Amino acid sequence: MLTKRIIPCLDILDGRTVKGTNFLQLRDAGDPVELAMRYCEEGADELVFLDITATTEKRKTLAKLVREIATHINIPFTVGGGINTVEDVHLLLENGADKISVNSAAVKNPSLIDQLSKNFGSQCVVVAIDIKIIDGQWMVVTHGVVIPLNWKPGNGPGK
Amino acid sequence: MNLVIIKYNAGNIQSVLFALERLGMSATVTDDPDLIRGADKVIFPGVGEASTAMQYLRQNKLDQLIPSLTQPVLGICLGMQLLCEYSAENDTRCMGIFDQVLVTRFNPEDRSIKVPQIGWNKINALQGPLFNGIEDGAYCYYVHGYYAGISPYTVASTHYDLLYSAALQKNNFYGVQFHPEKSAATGEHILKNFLTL
Repeated sequence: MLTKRIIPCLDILDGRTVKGTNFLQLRDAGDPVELAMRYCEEGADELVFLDITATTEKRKTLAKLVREIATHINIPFTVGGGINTVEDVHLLLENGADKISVNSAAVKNPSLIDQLSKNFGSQCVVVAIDIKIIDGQWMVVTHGVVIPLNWKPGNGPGK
Repeated sequence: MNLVIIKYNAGNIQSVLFALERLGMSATVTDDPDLIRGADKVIFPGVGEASTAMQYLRQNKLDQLIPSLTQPVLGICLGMQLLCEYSAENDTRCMGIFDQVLVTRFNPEDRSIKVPQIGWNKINALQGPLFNGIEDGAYCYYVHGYYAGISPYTVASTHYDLLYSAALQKNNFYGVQFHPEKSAATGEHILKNFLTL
């Protein structure tokens, strides 16, 4: 049977790994490729890289980093952060990502999930959902925990 | 060594190339029959859909070339399935090297067993040179919704809902359902075993 997987997740800002507390007070945590290789050696099953700046101008830099990671590690990895379109995903997969992860865009436009799975196969599409307790209730939040939606887990959008 | 990766309309070639690079090897990616025929070893990778892949192979006459090869050939994932007799994925007749081996979709009664299988699973009952030095029960990385049944060509098995072929071998033809290029040290060892056949 399938085993449980241990998947370290690295936050990437301007090509560097960063570590923060609740997405704030970010500090530099090193070179993503070096860290990725170390996690592999230590027995990680997969890796996740989340580009937390992910603006359109930075997209090409991320693709380059993805390619660099793909050449150096021998386990599957997922890339997320600011993915909005089929083209965004194509560029990341083409450079060696095994899966991509969508968050805000999938909450805003759930049909994106269908489009991506049709184009690339459901095996490489991951949806991440951020939740936070607001006024004592679990709420879905997007855009790096800024905009609360009227959407509770298990309740569907807008219900 | 002259190593060739068969180029066709299925993804995943890049990660195989990267894995070979990590082993200090380079490979030519081509669909040229002469280059494929002249290679010392041939890798036939693939993530994709069976019928469109077979259609492409037929259009380029690769469906006749591949079964005629005499050097070691390694099919990976969809590549392995296309070396079988038939795939239920869009009712596709395949190359039939692993004759009478049928490729079927997982259809678990237990809904907690997800299809496709994605993740790390054990390989057992290992036989043959591909698995030299690999421990029974080693973990490999899988991404697939269709599987090849157990047959006389089975040289490794995996259990997911049922027991199926993790690897097949017939003469110079080898096939693995898992992704050695993504299976950490175990996968690299298996690739190395193939490259030193």
